[in-house]
Amino acid sequence: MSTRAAPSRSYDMIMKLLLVGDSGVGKSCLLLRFVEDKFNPSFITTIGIDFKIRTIESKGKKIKLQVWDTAGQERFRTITTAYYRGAMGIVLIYDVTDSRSFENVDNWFQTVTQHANEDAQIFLVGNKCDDESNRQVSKEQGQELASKLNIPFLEASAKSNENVDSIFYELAGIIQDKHVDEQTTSGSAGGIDVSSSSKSGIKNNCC
Amino acid sequence: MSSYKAFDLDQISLEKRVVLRCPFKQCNARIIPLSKALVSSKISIDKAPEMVAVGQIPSVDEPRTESTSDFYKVDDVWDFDNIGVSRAVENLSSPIELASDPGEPVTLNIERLLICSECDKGPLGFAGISEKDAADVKNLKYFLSCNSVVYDV
Repeated sequence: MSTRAAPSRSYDMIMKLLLVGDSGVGKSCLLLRFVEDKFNPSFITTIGIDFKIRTIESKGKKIKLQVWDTAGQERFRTITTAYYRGAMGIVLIYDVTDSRSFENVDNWFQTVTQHANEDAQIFLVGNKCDDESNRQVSKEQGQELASKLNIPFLEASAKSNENVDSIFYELAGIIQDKHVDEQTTSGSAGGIDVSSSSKSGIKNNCC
Repeated sequence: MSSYKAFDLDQISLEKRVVLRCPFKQCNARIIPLSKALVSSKISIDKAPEMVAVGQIPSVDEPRTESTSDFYKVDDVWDFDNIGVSRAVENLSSPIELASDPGEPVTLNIERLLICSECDKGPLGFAGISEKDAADVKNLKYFLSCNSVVYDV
């Protein structure tokens, strides 16, 4: 029928998200479960996952997330610049059992704010929170740092799967809200159809 | 849910919304909707890497990998609802040649495997890139194995 002007996309919004942090904090594990069976072949675990597309529902909207792992790139600060391009959300990860990775959060925060889009949302995650016996960084310390940096925070465990999905849902929800705010404040009612926005992400943020 | 072999592609009409799902019983995540375009993208590829195979049983409970030659070609990764793309490895299998209109056939180097992004199992497909386009990951072409997904009619 001709009531549909353009062929409808199968999503309302797309978001590129990045996982960053020291090596060993478990970035890859947040993207690829380390369960080995016949069909989670060890070679996939060895090769690793570059990125995933996941479709989630948030506030009644269908959002496609493209989540990138930057593991192995930590040393190459210049290469990571390409990763940051177009990223709307950045998950900054430390390991609660490794205080050095926590101390490095500040450095990562600097790097990210230097390279990422100005409006990219940063999200702090303390990984491996299942490992209480080896914990070196308390949840309160994490929260304190997050409020100092003015970014949201969660503790998670890729091993027990605790909060792993929550990271992506919460981050996507925040980005979604930001976008809606910008849309309404920019006064550009009408004319903008989120569902038909271009593939490189939402481009109608005027400032 | 039905398997590829039990599924008649000619049945596809625009009214009928068929969804291709992860074949593993505990998962069944949406992989991609089956559009007319996807159906007509079906190609035969010899010497592709081995894939998960759905047997006569609609959902895989005793799965195996086997060689297959039927694939849907997906040019835009955003068409997928859920997919995991591995890092690049050399020589996953021999390069494939694709007819292109117009011009010379394009040679794609096969360097990545596709898995379900919910349960991390696979491979459900692979991805390749031509040498001259290899600098940008956006140029990857994706191939989803027809017999590695179940058909939710």
